[in-house]
Amino acid sequence: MSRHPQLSPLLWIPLLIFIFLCAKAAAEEPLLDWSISGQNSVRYEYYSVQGDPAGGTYSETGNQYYDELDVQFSRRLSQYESVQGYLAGLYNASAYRSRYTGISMESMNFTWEKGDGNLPFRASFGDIFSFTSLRTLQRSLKGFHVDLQPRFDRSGRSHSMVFFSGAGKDVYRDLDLDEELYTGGSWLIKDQALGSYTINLVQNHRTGNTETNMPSRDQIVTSIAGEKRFNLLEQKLTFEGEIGYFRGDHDSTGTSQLNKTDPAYFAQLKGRSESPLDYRFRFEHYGRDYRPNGATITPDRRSLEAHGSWRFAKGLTLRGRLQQFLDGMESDNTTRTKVAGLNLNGPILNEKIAGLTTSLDAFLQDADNQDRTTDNKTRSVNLNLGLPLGQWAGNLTIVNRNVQDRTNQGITTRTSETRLRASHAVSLLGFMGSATPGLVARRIRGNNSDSDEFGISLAVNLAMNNHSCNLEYSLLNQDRRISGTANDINQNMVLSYAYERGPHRFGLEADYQGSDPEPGNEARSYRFGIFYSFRFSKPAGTRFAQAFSPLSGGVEEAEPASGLLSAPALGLPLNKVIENLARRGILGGLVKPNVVVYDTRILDEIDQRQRLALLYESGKVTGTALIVEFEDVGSPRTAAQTFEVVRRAVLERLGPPSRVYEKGEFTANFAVEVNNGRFVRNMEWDTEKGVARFGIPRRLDRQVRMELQFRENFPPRSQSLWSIEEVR
Amino acid sequence: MADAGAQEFRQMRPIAAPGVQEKAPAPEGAKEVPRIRLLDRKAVEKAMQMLVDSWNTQGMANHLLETFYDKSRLMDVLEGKIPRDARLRLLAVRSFRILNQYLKPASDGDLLISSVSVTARTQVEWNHPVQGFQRYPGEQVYILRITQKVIP
Repeated sequence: MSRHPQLSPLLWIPLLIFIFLCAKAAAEEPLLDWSISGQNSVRYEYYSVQGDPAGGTYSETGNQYYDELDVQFSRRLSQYESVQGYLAGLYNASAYRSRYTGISMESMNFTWEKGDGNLPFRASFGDIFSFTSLRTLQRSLKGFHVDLQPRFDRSGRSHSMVFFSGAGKDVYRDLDLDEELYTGGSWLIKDQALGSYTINLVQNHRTGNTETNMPSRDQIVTSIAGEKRFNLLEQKLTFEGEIGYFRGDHDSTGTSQLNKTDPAYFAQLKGRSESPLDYRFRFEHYGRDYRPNGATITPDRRSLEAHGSWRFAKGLTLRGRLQQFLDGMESDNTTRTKVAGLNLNGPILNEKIAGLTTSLDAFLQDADNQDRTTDNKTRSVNLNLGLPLGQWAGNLTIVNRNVQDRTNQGITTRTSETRLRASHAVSLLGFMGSATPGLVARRIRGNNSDSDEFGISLAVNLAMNNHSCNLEYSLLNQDRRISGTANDINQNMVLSYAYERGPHRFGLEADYQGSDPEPGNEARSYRFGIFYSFRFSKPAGTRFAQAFSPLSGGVEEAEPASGLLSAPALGLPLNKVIENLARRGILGGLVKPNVVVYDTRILDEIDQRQRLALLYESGKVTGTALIVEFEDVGSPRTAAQTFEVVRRAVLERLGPPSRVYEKGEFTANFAVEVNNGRFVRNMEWDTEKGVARFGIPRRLDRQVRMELQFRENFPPRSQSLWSIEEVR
Repeated sequence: MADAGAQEFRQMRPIAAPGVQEKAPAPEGAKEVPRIRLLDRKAVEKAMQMLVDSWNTQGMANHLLETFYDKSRLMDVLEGKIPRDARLRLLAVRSFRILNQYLKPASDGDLLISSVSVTARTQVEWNHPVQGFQRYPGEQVYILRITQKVIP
């Protein structure tokens, strides 16, 4: 860890400007038109390892602390012109938080965008993220970035010309532009009919090092890439390709390689149609010396891949893949890897076991090289099953892995593992949450690593108002069966508590890891942490002092909740629910006797018409419903696909159902069969205030549509007339 | 991670200009944020913790976008070569910054979707049968997509 308490005078400048602006703002309010928000966080941690230091979790012990300040600012100058930016500074005395101690400017950015001039542009200075393509450059830089979008014609063709230059460093401290400097440009053309095309050029310079005898290195990578969407034989196809060329120096092989050239090729065809089949074919080729410093790809490799997926009528998806990779393809000892894989995901066997969901992943891999120093075959199966069992949500994972080394050593390693977890709602001293106990059993054989392992775990998450706390504990006993190996008992415990009120957040954290090998020395590692953070926000048009008043809005973690379509709305006063809807922008409900109907989109990923219905009696909500129309009930394929899309959206929000009842298949007579009771789709979830039911109910007016309803109770399942008849 | 689409090269980020109808690449129905909103460090730490906890399990595939480069190969390598008791520990979230943000209307308010570049210090840990406890610390840059519910 570098110990440089000084900050370069150059890097004080943005900080001093900010402090000056704050002081000036407080006195004169010249920042009235600016939006300013920020957060200051201070964290203290204490790390300790007792017993054998080599067996401890932490390499750095003792007191570690830091304070960081993030500030964002923006101003809209006109409809087509705006400026915005941010500053992130750090005072650090923690070996974990940063390599540097003292004050550092970690990141900053200033962006000016102007679209109403002759040449629309977006110019950024400071931290920029440069992405031209996966095969040329994708990384954060510290420098500048200009995007020019000239309008050469009015034909609907768009142009974007990007120029950038920046250093590949993560902090401004000791910034040496020559150490790793990227400079480049990219011209992107997007045409409504012809597709999108781009030409990229990236130059990279790295300075030499006399101590390591490394010379100065320069490289240039150029590429041309394009994407075109088209229809052929009822297939919706997307073709994408890129050709790249590398010229220059690299040292990725450990020694410097100068004046090298090599190409890269990439092509991919993706397709889908009205059928449930999606597919893609992919080809990649990267020469041994195609090694752009900022690219994501693996050099010296050729790969061929075919992927396909099939969506079954009841929400189950089957994916398959065939892949071949040639690594070190330009060497004398190419490694060839062939993979065949299958993945099955979604509800399964629900006719027999209601609510059962599966995730099965299996693959076969065969890898060998020419001198037979590598020749192994891997078989892997990973099965995950989820099932509601009364008040419990159970989860079973079974893993089986077999790695057969077919070189002269002829060793086979077999691993099997079973995990069982189940979650249950808990309530304790006013806190609500869940508890999840679990078990794991593992058996490993072969390669001198025979071991029987057994573990237990418990996770508890609780929350009440502004308080939240979590506990996680696990114990793993590793019983090694080979002479000379060590048995081990590992324990892990994490405790955390957080309190949040307005702009303030306070928390405590404690970790413990214990290891007791036999033979060997015991090691115990501890971490204790305490943090406090404070947020401030000044919207444009308000005084700076108001930034420190309690925040009225904010963000919170998104939960896969059912939102408005939830049981908690049941029993609430109707006017209160209508007010809540209005606050969320859902207005214009049509009030009828016993029902209020809104034409609004609730499931945002569904394009079909949706209506929200509030059922009420005596001024209180007795039920909520989402009604989704079919586009075309005459086409069984379209109807089945529409139903599956909606059902998947519902399952994502409500989780595995408690009960499922299905009869009949989507046919050309599907609408008739719904009305004569030969076709049934019905799923139910038990909730804290009642029942949620999703399906295609029979209606007196013979209209066919999907409904998701929350009510205290429903008519028996045999009674198929459960639709809201008032909403036609 | 590539940008909003599955495309493996950059996409147009249109500049608002008179007569320009084109929108920035984002999922259908998404809308621009009036100004970049501050992202709480705790939210970034929580997202990183979720990713780190899923390492060396099949659940990690659920956290990687379909456009993640070489996703299946990464999962195969984890499944076939990493000891089953190996785990990844999040030692510290270092700096992070927002690459882009947009709002997505949802049933109970807008969702704020932020693409964030995060520098984190992590450590791979496992018990070698002979050599005992092993730890391999390192520093990486992650690009996360964090979804939060906007409170009115």
